[in-house]
Amino acid sequence: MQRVIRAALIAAALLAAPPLAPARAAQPYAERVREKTLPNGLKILLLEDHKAPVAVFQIWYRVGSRNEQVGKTGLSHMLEHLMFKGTHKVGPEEYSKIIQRNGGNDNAFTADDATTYFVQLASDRLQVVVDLESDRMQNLSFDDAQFEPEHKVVMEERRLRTGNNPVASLFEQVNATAYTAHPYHWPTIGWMEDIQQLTREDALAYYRTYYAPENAFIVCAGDFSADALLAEIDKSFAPVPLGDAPPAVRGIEPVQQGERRTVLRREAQLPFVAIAYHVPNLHSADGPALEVLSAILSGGKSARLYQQLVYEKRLARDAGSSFELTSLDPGLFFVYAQPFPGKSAAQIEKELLAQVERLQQTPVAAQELTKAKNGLEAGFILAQDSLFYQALLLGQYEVAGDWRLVDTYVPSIRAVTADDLMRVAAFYLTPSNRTIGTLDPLPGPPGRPAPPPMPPQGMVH
Amino acid sequence: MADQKRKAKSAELKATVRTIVPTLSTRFSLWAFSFLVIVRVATANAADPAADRRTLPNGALLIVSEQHALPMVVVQMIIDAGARRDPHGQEGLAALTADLLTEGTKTRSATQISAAADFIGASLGSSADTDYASLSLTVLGKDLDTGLTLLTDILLHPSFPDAEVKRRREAALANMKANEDDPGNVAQRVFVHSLFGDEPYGHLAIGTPPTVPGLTRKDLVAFYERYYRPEHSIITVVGDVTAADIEQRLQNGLKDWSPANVPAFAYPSIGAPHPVTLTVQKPISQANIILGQRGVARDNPDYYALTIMNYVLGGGGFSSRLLDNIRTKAGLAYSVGSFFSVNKSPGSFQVVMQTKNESANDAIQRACDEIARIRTEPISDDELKEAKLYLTGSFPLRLDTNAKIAGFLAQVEFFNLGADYADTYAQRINAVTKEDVLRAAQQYLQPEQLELVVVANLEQAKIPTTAPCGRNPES
Repeated sequence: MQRVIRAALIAAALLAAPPLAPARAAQPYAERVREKTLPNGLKILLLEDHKAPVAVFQIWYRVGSRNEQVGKTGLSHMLEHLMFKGTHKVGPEEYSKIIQRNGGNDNAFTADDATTYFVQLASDRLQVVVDLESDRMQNLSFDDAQFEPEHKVVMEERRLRTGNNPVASLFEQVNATAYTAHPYHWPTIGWMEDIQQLTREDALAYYRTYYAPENAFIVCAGDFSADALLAEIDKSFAPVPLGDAPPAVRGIEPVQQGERRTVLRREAQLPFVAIAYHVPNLHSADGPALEVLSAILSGGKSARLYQQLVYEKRLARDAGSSFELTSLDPGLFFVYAQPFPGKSAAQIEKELLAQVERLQQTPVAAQELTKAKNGLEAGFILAQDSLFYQALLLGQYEVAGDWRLVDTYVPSIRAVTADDLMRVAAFYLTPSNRTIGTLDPLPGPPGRPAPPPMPPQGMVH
Repeated sequence: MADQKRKAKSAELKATVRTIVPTLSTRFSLWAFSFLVIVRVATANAADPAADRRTLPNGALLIVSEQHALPMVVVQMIIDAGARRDPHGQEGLAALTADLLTEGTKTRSATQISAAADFIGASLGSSADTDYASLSLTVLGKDLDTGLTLLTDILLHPSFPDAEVKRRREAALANMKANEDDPGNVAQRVFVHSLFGDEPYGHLAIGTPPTVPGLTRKDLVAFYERYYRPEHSIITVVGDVTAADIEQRLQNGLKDWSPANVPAFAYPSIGAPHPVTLTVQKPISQANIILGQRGVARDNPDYYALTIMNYVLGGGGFSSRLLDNIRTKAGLAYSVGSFFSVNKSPGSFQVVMQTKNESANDAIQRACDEIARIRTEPISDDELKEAKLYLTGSFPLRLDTNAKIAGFLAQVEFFNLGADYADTYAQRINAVTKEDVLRAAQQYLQPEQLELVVVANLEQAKIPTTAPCGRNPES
């Protein structure tokens, strides 16, 4: 199970304060971020933060697996890899070498709603990134000799992330079962059978459709002068021509009418249970209550799922919940757990559902509610230790609708009441709105037990 | 359990990135360890790691770096109670001891500790790595008192309740079982045991299925009493504090922590190389491969030449030869690289990669070829220059958060790198010549000593029993 810093917990309060400033009021991002949109539609968000002589530069394209078609899933991610294959000016894989020569690190990631490229480096080198990005927004160029090996690399990536990971495979199946009509149905990396059939032409056509200034925005945070950087970005990106508006995504997920189940049978050490409910996101007034609900369930070791399933009842090795406020279209609220050896998936499922019912029937006590809110607020402030996560948060809100909504996070969490939690739990976390996924381990091949701690087959040479 | 607050998010399970740096080992690697790569930060407003360093009356070292940009404080404590101290037959003792610190003190139950930390939104955790145990606290400045009270309580007064020992012992066993579903973890476990045998570095910190069930409360208390002592301990505090204030608070909080003449750790004599090929059958589509051998300790004077050598060979991401050969040119792997696991005592050198079962032998041969090449010809002037530019130029990124500064300062101290380390690192890197790199490659990469571990569907991978790099491709 990947554990990652909750990027969705970031917001105000950072000031480049003089030493020992006695008290610091939370300063809204709206007052800290410099925003400008160029005539060609490229939006730029700049956040000055001078605590270290570094910067993070992110360019976001509003295209992800949500924009893909049946039979060509994984194309957004395939293109992400190919974006490093060069332009008329920059050779294949030169991008990273140039960044590294400048003491920087670069990477990129693809998600449902967006594709993001980023560089972290000393802030006096930002011009290098600005120029590389404006170049590859217009001039991507690669031939079959570059496409073919990268095509194989992406298949290896799928084997690594999903093929060899039973729990990741289960989550993929639960998503595919919960979504029937909306493109959140398929995994971001794509189905292996689709990846295999992607072509260079598919990728170039996708690039021409979606990689244009009005379908992108830049977020840069760090130790720079916003005025000077804005001028540099303007100069570099202004000549990029306005493209055609990309096609809208039309899939709408119908209301679920009855529980769905999916079972994944494959060799694994332990079962796993994941339960998903369709829920709204930050575009709904119920979003903050769902965020707090998730914290009540799994915001720390004292939260309910760990206390009940892992600690008190000793049924689960691990238990948790997850919810995303920032998405373009409505997402899923997950509760999940992995049984202790000897405990069954059925026991775990029953207990997870009992925890959901408790939320619907009994108000959360005041102290527990305060604890959950404190945890979310503290996480929001502590995450500002990282420039990267501040930029990521702005980008996630911008993709989902508007970066300014980030300033609503703390007030909206504070406003949630115990009644809200009960109402939201009763409305969304219902049997007919849930998909239950179970990983049902197959035993290993007969006569060959699971690998013991000592290597089973060795040859001294 | 510090990351208990961090959640697996469905979106992250779906999201996917261009490349990942494998988290291969709990030990430091040159690969992941580039935060020890330092040049002077001249910028006036830099996150200057410059820190106040003082010794508390009980012998613990306190290092404070005042960083006032955010109303938060990070505390990290390093105790010489890592898994290298595990007695033979009790592998997992250090990790279980560290794990139990948060599971009950003389005045607080496990649940009271976690509830108190959660109520202020703090991260409070304890764990053991190979070389040391660590305790950490991340807390808002306004809640520093509460956070420090909890931290000092779990450090000084853990009660190791029988019921909690049983719980966490079972959890460790369950975690080991779950880890068997991660073929990369299986390969790492098999590799370190093959390479180091029964030496202190021969097991993962979590322990082994045969030894963990036998660990009792009595064992944990004895381990704790013996090793959780101030004299080899390092406390770093980074954030919105003053050195004088934090020293006062910790002197009070830790006044009952007394030294006990803990002997310095001595690594036993190192066994002779016994190169082997080890395979583990799993019904998976991709072979997980480790090709490696014994490496060096952090205090090895060739550390800097090896840092550059490894950057060029497999540590430098898309600038490295292994990645260029195996990923970019051949498309055989998504993740491929090499690193030195640089510990207090000599650790390992590893090439780590994953490729579909059918191409395992091709990928291994390519790795062998690159190892042979870097031993036979000097790296190019461009390669040397690019490695130096990256290693020196990326320094500011190693210190751009309070959490990173705390880790950096603790490790500079743990490895005795010297207060002027930040000033001298760039000089040391820049002093390395192509000849140094070639000599280091020839001295520390010994193809005839390479061990190979492959976790794969072996019917498809068809790994031969012969030495992986036995045939010199030049001949």
